[in-house]
Formats: sequence, C-alpha cells, structure tokens
Amino acid sequence: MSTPLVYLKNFADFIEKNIGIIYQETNYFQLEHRLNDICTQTGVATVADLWQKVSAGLEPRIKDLILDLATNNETSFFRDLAIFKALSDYMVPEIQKKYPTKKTIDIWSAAGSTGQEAYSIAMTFANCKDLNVMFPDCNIFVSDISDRVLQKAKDGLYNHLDVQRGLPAKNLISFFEKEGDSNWRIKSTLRSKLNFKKINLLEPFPLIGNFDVIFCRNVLIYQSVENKISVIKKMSQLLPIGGYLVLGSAESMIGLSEDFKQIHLDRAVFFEKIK
Amino acid sequence: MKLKVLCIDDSKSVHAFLKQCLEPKLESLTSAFNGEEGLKVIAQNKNFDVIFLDWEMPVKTGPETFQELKKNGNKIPVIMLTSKNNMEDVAHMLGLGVSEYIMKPFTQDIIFEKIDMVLG
Repeated sequence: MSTPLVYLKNFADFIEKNIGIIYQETNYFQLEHRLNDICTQTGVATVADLWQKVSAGLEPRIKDLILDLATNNETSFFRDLAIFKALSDYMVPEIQKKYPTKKTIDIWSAAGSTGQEAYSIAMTFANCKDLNVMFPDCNIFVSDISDRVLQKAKDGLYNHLDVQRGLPAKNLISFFEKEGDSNWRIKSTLRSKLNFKKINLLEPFPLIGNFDVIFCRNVLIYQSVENKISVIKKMSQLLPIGGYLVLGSAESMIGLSEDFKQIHLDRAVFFEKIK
Repeated sequence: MKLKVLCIDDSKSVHAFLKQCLEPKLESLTSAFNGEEGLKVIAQNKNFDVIFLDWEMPVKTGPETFQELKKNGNKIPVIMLTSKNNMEDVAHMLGLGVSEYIMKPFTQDIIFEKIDMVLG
C-alpha cells in the first residue's frame, strides 16, 4: 500500500460513521484501490489529498462517491425466487384476509440498489394479475443511499447480462423493450409502479408512509448489532400488525427484535409483525 | 444432483465453455454439432436432464430441431442458445414449448440460474 495507513483508517472510520459498514484493516488494500479510482475520477492527486477535501466537508459529491464505493450493489432479478412466490402466494393473501378493504399493497424495497428487486416485485404482481384480475395492485417504494444506483433503478435500463440473471425469458418479453443492440428497458407501465428516494437507513427515516411489506435483504449483515436493532425498530414502526419484513435468506432476527415471528414457507424465510 | 446434458450447437467453443461452466454439477455432456445429429442422439438415448439447443445451425436449425423433438413427444427441458435477439421469434418458440432462452455471450451464473428455472 502506498497510502499512509492513517488516511485509510480515517476513511474507514468515516464510512463506518456514515453508513455503518465496517472495513477491517485486512481489507484496507481493497479500500485503497477503490479510493484511488475516486481520485482518478475526480482529478484528485492522492488519497491523502482526497481526505483533506472530505474532512473539510466542502465537496458533497466526493462524500457520495466514497459512501457509494462501500456499498455492495450485487443483485439480480428474482434473487432467491422462493421469496417472490411467498409474496404472491402467502403474504399478499394473508394481508388481504386481515385488511379486506385494502386494494393496493404498499411495499418498500429498502437499499433496493439498481432496482432489480423492486421490478421483480412489480413483475410478480403483474403476472398474478394476469391470472387473477382480483389480485391487488402494488405501490413500490425504492430507496438507496447511492444516487448513482438509484438513478440506474429509475432509468430501468439493463444490459444483456443483467436481464439474463434470474429473469425468466417470458418476463423479458412481457416487461422489457429492447434499446439499441444490447440494452433492455423496463416498460413504462411497470416503471410507473415505483417511486424512488435517497435514504440512509441509519438516519431517522423521512416521512415515507406505511408499508405492508418491507424488503431489506442482505443489507443489515454488514451492520453492528446496535445498528441492526435500530433499523429494524424503525421499520417495525412502519408496518401494521400482520405486515411482513423480508431479510436475506441467511439473516436472523434473534436478539434484534421481539416484534416479529419467523415464518418458513418452502425455501423462503420471512418475518411477520405480531406486536 | 449431477446433470446429464445434451448440447446441440455448431460451435465447438460453446461445448467447451458449457463443459467448463457446468463441471462442478456435470455427470455427462454429450455433444452434437447440428440439429440432425442431435435428433439422432436423442433417438438412441433420452436420458438427459436438459438440452441446450443453438438457434442457428447448418443442416437443421434450432427451431426446426425443436419442432421435430416436440413431434416425437420430447419431455426433456430445452434451453435455446442464441445471439438472435428478435423477441417475436423468441416469444413464438417459448409459446411452442421451449423452456428457456439464453442470449450469447453468457456467464456461468446465467447457465446455473436458467437450469434452476427449468428444473425447479
């Protein structure tokens, strides 16, 4: 590493303080590599100079780039397919039983990255509606801490590899339009189901309404226990009794909240709010 | 479960890439280099979990081969491989019973995800 350790530690502390993601010293080489990319992108000579700018707080754009580099935007359409089946076959019917007057299901894709999760939810609803006109509509709210990935989600434009990751060909045909030689854009009928907002889950949530289902998958695994408890508590306040919180398939609620009970359905695991 | 795969494609590099991608889950990969050869293989051995079928091939194209497979009562899931991106044609083949569709070039993740889709 050519950057003095003190600067890398400063950046690691800065990232942890702002978004709770912890960089261990063994991963500083990766952090340095990513910081060097930002230097090139912004025309700053060294990582040390970059720190001077960030610590002076004068360039919010650089701050955003740094927080963006720390987030893992790995995602694909219908990632963990079982949870989308659980949504259509279990969660939605159960919500309708509990709240029979409800015509629209409100869903939050928290830390929704480049939108594949939210669009997969929208496709699930559209496919169900094709089979059963009585199936409810959905409103989907997508948030992320990164302006860059949120813009990609809003654009709904994916390349030829993106649209093959997890996406059945019949959904590609039904919900996308080809754009140029190798890009595909989500049709506007589906895009219109989504609303977007930049949110840092560690800060107090802005007024975003209430939800029937919140997806927050593989986000809290990078956080300290205190942060996990705080985020789950804030999300719980936005769910009615009988609403659902969906975490990553390997994430547990043990020791984090007593507001939820765990439900296993085939290969899907999710949490129902009980108090 | 280890997979028994039939690949019908006129490009040797596709066979090699598929073999390399599937290696951890592969029991056997049988190769045919055009539709006619593929039909002969299936006439003698129907013990495959999945068939990868190229769209554009000499002698007999992928769609023609699929139609014959269908006529012969094929029950093995067929994933079509193609660099052809005419969605109307693809939709037509899916309507006829092709299980999935992969656009070239593709990655190992895509292969495994599509196999999961067709085998459940």
